[in-house]
Amino acid sequence: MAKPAVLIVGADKGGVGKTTVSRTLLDYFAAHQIPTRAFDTEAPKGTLRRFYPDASEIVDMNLVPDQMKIFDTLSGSHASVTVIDVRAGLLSPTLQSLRDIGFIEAAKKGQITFGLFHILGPTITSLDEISETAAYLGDAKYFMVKNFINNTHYFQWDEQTCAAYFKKVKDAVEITIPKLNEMACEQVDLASVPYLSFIANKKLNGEAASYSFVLRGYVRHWLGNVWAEYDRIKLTDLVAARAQADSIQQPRAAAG
Amino acid sequence: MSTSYSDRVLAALYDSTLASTSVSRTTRPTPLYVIASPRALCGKTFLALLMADYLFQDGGNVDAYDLNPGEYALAACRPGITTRADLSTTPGQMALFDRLVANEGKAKLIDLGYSLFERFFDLCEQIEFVEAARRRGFEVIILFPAEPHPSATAAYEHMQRRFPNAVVVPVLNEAILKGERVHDSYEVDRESAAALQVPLMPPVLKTYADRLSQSLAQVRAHLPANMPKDHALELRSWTRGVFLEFREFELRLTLEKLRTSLRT
Repeated sequence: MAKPAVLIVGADKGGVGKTTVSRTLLDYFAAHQIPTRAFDTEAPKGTLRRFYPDASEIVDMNLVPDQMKIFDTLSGSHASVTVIDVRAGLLSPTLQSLRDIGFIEAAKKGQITFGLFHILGPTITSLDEISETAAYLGDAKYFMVKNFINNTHYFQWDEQTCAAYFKKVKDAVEITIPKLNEMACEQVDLASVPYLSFIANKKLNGEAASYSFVLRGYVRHWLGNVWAEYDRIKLTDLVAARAQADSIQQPRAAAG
Repeated sequence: MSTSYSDRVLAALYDSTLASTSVSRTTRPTPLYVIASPRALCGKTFLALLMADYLFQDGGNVDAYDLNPGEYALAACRPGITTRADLSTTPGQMALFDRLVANEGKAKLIDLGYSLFERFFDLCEQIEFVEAARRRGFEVIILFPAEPHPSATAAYEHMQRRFPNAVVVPVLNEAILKGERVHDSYEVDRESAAALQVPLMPPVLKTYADRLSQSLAQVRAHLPANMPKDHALELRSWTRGVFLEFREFELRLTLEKLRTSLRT
């Protein structure tokens, strides 16, 4: 039996494309028929929920009941993967909370698969976040994501600087999200549907839509490139890792 | 093209809306012509005009698209059937391709300017236009004006490899080749794609043809009144010869499709 997998998508800066990456992950797992649930920490309105109303729930990571909702249900949930889209600026505090409730330790013991998709911004500050984040990771899979969807320029990163920061995290893996045509990006947002639904020319309720063939083609080509990255890092193998012989112990929720 | 599981899922979703519009194997596909070369002044627009007139004859119908920003010569000659198009913006791309893939049973034709050659085919590849058009009942035919220049022959070969699902046909226009033999440089990868021959139009006829207010198809039915009769008859004969060449090409395509359907 596969052990529960928790993938955190976060950044310490807004506007770098966290929710975009979360959406591509949810679509990826859906396509591979891996039951997945998502928690959107942009309480109260949420950003992910509008695209995945049935698969996602809005939570406040500062509240113990919401922490329990996520972590106390890991092994009992029908979903084998839990994606948590962490609010901008809360990545480090969230990781600290996870450490405090024993989640990092549980991951270290192999009871849970833990992966972090750290969406990097284009400035050196972002690289500093890596140092901060590295302290909490333990044996977690650490994916550093460069998101070019909005034509971001990571020009301030020279190779030596990059290498110095990246080496701080053992086995860190770099993922590149390529640029998506701006109008295609905008239209998918306006349609409020998953990328897969847009490609399939379907509305959220499954009815046929009339999206542009060109824009659907752009999204399909882009998503294909994103998924090629996930294939490259063997993401399905990661989340399908089998449970260890020891029984799974739930991490305790932090005192409120 | 990669055939990973992820790719197959995306391909299936992209085509899922076509299930109800798929064309049976015995239905004749709607032709979608692209007149293209990466080189200027090789007779593309003249070829586009000939093909548009051919498709328009005998009650036929065609939607033509002029992709020559700054010139739009085809649109000027055949305004009733031609739409000016541009690829420089996403809305321009949508206005062109979203209309191209809509199959209303009308033939379609694109006069592709040399400056947009790479951009157009890059986009076709990115959005998988040829495959999508085929699944919507089109036969995508790329008419390639043949020239001896290495860049032309290289582009032709690249086109065949890049778009194996399109019919890539070299066109030997005597007015461009001026007696030069290029057959060996333009090998065809299927019987139906045998080179099309466009004979030299005598200069005096060309002068009249350029000023014609009617299509060449109409010349077959009604000789132009503002042209000496012997020239008009010569123009009609020349046109008939070219249209016969196009007709034989269509028959080769139909025969090829029939053979394929009998084999499967």
